[in-house]
Amino acid sequence: MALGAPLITALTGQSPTEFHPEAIDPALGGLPKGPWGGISAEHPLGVEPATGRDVLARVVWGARLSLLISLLATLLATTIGTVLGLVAGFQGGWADMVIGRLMDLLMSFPSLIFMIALMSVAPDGNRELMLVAVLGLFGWPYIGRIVRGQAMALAGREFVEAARVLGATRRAILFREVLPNLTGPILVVATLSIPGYIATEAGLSFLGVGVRPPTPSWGQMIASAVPWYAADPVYFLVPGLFLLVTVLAFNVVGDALGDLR
Amino acid sequence: MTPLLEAEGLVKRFPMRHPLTRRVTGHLTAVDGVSLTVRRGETLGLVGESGCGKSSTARLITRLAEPTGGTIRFDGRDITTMGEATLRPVRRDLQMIFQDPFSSLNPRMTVEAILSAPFRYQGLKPEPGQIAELLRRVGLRPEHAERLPHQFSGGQAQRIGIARALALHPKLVVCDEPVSALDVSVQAQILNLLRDLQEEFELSYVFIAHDLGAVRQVCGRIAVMYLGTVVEIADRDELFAHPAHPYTAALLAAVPIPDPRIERARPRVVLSGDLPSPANPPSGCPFRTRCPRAAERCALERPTLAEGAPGHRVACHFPLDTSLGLSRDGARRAGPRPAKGAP
Repeated sequence: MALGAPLITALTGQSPTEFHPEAIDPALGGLPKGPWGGISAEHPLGVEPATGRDVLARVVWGARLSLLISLLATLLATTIGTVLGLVAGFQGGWADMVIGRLMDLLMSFPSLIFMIALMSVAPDGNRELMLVAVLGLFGWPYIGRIVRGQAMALAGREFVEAARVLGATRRAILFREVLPNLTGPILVVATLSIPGYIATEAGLSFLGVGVRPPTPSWGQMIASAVPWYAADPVYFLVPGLFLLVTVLAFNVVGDALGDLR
Repeated sequence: MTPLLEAEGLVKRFPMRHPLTRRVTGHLTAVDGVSLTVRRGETLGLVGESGCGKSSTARLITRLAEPTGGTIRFDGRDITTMGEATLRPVRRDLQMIFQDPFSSLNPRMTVEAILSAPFRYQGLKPEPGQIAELLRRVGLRPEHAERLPHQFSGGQAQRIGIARALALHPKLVVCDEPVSALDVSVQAQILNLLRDLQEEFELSYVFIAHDLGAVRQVCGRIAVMYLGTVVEIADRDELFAHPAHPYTAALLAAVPIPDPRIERARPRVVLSGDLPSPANPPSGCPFRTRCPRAAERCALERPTLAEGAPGHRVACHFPLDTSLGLSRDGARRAGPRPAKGAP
């Protein structure tokens, strides 16, 4: 759906940012004309109150952004978490101390509050990239923890000693011998963390520190639906349902991956 | 010709720390002054009960662990303090076979990848057909190369471990209890394989085991270890016929004889007590707390390895077999004179 967003909007002929004053009723304070939030053949999921923007177009474009941000954040967190977790678990000693304390520090932080603070003072450049960086920064310790523990367990196995006897470098041992044994857990944890990032991204956008309008995002749509929920519940329901289903789907996939192993 | 391996006074000490303050509260001495030589083409057995420092010694020899003291000379070169990069080419000649055949094979690698690893880590490439030849040599089939370790039995997995150790044609292979995790019926096959390979590749082995039967089958010379020290070292037949150290005698007496009449008739040497903690070893002779012949002198003075019969050395103030010609020890017994080189 996210990939097909341009196609879908091309099909319905609606742009996510285009205003449709004719679809709303200024007499009712900008409520959409028609029942169910203005659902019609032209606007299958209705229109936004006050602006008349097409909800379907905004939802699919918002999915694009939500998924892109959460996937990139997962990628970033997984990479940092895997590398640092491997080093901490395998090297032990002071490297483990430093990385371990850093992970504790980041995990014990009230990260949402910190993210809000960070995002609101952040320069207004590329909000999307900033979101990825901030999500990744606070997300990696969770993967790092798991990788560290697994790497510690694997470091004591004889095949690691065998590789050392064969003259393998530390790097070769880490990436050729140990890492392939960790792909399973890493994949599961990464998949399970995607919904968390989607929700966090939506939350940040909801709070107004995430993606800035007019770029559509689910959280932002939900936020702007709040003052309207009594008059136009459909506008609130649509992005909410999309968020729910997506988060649920990733959770189910992650669970299934976990069972596969 | 110089011996292939000369270990001189090897010591491995682990600091013990207080769990809260992290202060060093004492030391655990796993290996306490072990000296060994391995001649070219021979098999040196290393026996002793669990926790006596056999495996630690093996890890020191192969430089998997850093020695606290002592020197290791391998093939004429001092490898004690060599860095990992300088050591890499030496590792081609110094290989190891591990106890647990499954734990020692990477579960995510095919046999093909496991057997190419020695080449890859040394910056080499196996010649075409070389992996298949290795597999054939250890009694497996070339089509096994595609499989993963868990698809093999314990004996087959250990064969893969052996093939890996032999891939680079080493001179010395340290076998750390290579058969103790295997079924008895498979043990003999693996021992025979090791012996055949020794002939074919002119290998030397350090063979570690707690099973005297296996050691007797493959070893030319045997060193008996107790609490981190070598207490007796002799040629196989000499050791089995004339054990001089009371501990060796006790070990031999514990080997069952499959004839009940002989088994019943022979004298029993049963050791009392447990292995003392290597963190707090007894004074003097490490074995004195369990020794039936211990005397006052054993608590005061640590015996050093002394040669009795040619090639038969024992660390005991009161060795068992007088026919060994350890009469000079009788002189020692008369008056407590500090032994030379005692710590």
